[in-house]
Amino acid sequence: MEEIRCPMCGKPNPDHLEICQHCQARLKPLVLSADESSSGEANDADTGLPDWQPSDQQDEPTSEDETALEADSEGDDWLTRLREEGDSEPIGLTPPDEPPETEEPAEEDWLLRIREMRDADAAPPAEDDSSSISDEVLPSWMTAQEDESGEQETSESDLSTPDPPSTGEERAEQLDAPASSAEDSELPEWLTTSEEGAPPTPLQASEAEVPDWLSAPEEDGEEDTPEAEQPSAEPPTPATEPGAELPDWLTAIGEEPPDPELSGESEAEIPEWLSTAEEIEPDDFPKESQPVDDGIPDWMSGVDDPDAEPDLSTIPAEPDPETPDWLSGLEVEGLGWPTDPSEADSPGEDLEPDWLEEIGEGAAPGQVPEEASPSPFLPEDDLDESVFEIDELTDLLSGADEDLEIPATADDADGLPPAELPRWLEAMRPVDSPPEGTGDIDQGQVEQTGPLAGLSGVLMAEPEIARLKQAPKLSSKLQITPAQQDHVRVFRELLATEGQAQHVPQPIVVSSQGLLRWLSAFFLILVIALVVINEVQWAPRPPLASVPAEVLNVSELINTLSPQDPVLVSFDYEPGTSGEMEAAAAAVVDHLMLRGAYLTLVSTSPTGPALAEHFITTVQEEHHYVSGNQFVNLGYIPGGASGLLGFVQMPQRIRPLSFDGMNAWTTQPLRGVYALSDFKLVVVITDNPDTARTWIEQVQPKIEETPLVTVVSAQAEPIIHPYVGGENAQVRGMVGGVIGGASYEQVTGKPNLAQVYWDALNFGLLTAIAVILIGGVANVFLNLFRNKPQGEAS
Amino acid sequence: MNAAEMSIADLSGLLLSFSFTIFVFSYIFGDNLLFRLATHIFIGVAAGYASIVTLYNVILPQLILPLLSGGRDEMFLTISLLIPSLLLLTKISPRTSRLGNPAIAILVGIGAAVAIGGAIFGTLFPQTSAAINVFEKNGFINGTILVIGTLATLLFFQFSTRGKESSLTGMTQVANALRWIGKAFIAVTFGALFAGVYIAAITALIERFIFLWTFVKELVLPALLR
Repeated sequence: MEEIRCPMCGKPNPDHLEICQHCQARLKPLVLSADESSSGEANDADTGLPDWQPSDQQDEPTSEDETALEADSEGDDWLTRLREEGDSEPIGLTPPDEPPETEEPAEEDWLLRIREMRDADAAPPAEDDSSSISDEVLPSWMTAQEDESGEQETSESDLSTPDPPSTGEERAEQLDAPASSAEDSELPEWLTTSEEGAPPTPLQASEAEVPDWLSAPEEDGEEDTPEAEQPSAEPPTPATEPGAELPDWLTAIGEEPPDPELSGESEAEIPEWLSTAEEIEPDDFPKESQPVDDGIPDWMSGVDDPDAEPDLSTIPAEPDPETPDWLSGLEVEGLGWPTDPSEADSPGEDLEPDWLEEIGEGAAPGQVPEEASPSPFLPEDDLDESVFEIDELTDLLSGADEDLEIPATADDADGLPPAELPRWLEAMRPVDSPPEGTGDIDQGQVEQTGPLAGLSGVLMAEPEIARLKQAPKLSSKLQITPAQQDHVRVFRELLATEGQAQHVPQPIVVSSQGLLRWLSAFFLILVIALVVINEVQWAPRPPLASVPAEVLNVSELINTLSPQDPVLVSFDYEPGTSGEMEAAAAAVVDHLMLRGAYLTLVSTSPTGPALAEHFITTVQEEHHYVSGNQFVNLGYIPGGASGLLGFVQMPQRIRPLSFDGMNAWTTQPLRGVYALSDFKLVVVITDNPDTARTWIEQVQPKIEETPLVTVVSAQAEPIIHPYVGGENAQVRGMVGGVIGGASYEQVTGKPNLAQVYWDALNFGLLTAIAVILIGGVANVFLNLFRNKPQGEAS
Repeated sequence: MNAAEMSIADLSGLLLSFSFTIFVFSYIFGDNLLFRLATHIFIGVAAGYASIVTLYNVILPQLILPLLSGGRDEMFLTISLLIPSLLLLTKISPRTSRLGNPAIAILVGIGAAVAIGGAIFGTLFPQTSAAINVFEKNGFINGTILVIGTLATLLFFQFSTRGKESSLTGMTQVANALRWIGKAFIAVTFGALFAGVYIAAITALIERFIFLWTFVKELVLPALLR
């Protein structure tokens, strides 16, 4: 018992097993070997497997294939085999690079027979009916083929493109049968068989099992389609038995009646797509050749192989009138040649196809003449409008074009004259460089590789993605700009100095302020104390001539008072400034008392009434003014400016009682007084400029001709001074501070408190001026010495 | 001043005055307890005195007495004044402070109206008139000085953006010069105000020294020499 070693685990297994008993791997591959495929062809034919279906069993034909071919028991396997052979090696249409010499005699004999038949037949008119032509011209073997009516599926392509020799022995064996029969009866065996029957016509063949590509030109009649050319690229295949099982589509074709125009015997039902093709009139096809850019039909897939060499060169360039009618009709109508001889390029010339002439001359088929036009398109005049299904035909020829040139060189080696490429084929031949004036095709790119090589205008599946591009080189080194380097440096420095303690400059200690304050206070207090204690009168009194006018105005106004004239005196100063205000107002109030005026005391400050009482009873004690007799204290007027305005408008209602609770308006000083304008003089004693302005703004306009004079502090004098002026001024006179009081004393000639303060004040002012000057000079020198080091440092 | 002739109140008053003066003078050594004590006592005494004065000079004579002894009209007027016065007391509590708003509004409104009216008719118009007639009142020289000072001071308070030095026009340079003059006048004014304040302070100091010297000379020294 043989053992099979598992390819996976390497362990032996019995021969009959298909699966490894150890690893469950398949021992026998699903792809059958060539031997198995050849042995199984009969079974495939029996089961009706379509020949176009790819099968691994048909990869490599063997000797068993020859047996199958001879038996002709498989009606459609010839297509499959042809395809397989086309994939594996060159087939038929063009001779191989090194054709075996042993096959040449057979081929030559075969071709010679055709030449003899051509010579024997008279040239039929071009316009004759194909049927009639076939009757006259067709050889006997074709006639027999026609009579068989479906027994054999030969086609005109088989005849027009005899099976060329292949390069391998297998190919020679495949063609051995017709070659050997030709030696015996000058015809191939399969031709002999056909000769016995009716002349084979395409329609008759289609009744049996003609493939669609073959049946299409038959049934189209004059409307030839590209499928009509397909037989030219296919090798001849032996006829199959009529009883062979056919695929559905072939069966349907076989049942269709033939075209009555070509053959009344053909009644097979035409497929739908062929029926549609039949209905197409020649005018429906484009008159101009169209670009070739579609895919290759499946049936020509075998030709796509660059190694395959379809013998398209054997296709006649022009219809031969002497060819069989079925063939001429196929050629003329199917290939687009004009059926009318008048439409031919050279009506007077021999209508024999070029390929037949080349055969007769011994030229190798398929040799391309040098004068072949590089234009991929035939001129419009030379083409039949209803020739092709442009897309499929051009795709077909695009693959075959490459194969056409190869045998030409091979034939040159044999001394054969170069064959002319058919014009229609030349027209459809794609070229590397698209010619000018081809429309949109010019814009396309010529395909360089693959089955569409040489075709222009091919749409690229992935034009950009499919192209490999070199990946950009990325540097792994960090790129840093100079600016970034500076930033890094600064950042590093910042981090480095972050932990270091910063030097804090020592603040400048100003220790001299206390000393200066002490020194200033000491000198000032010392001077004032000495003056006060010693009661010196070293300071000169203000001269009378230098007494300000406002002080003189006050004196003059008071001098105009008569005894017992009511005078309103406002004490609106605070206790803190009572010393200054008493010194400034002492001379004025003393003058009023000297004049015998009755005083009415008011105040807008709560402390004012007490200060007024103190002033009258203490400062002016010598006048012995009695409250209620010579003066009356009305007390405090609340409300600020509003209260003062109310007091101006309704004095009796605002201040009905005196500060000590008496009915003030019944006292002597207020007799005959009902309004402020009844007073002879209004004297405002205040240390606050705002208070003085309030009196000026609220009272002065209401008192009409009653003069208003002020005794103000030295600090309020500059502010009140603008109100002081001549007769029409708001303030008729003003006494400001101790200096004003001293001046007023000079006017009255009676010393008072201002005289006491005068020396102390003057020495105090001198001391202050001296301190300011000394301090200023010292500050300047200190700044100079202080700024010098800073300047040097800078 | 003779201590033997003085009453205890006067003598106490003099002693307190002397003491608090010394306390205030102690500020020359910096902020200290005596100075704070003196200032607090002064503030308290002033507030108390103001309250007493207000009570005895305002509330009683103008609000209470009219209700008790006044006539009908006076009573109605007093009541009409008493109601907003009482509403002002509601400002003590935040809850009832809104009730005092109308009284505050009346007071503020009346005060503002009085102040503005007085400023316009008592200061603005008269001062404008005086500035117009400055040459008539003060002569040419003083009038010129006053006019220049007034205009320069007003120009000094003209606030605008500063242009580039190169773009200064002649008019701008004149305005800048007037501004500088105005600044000088303002400086002189502030100097005069400072001098007045200093004179007032020196006067107060002198008055206090005189008081101290008088107190010492008439009360302390006789007692010590005795």
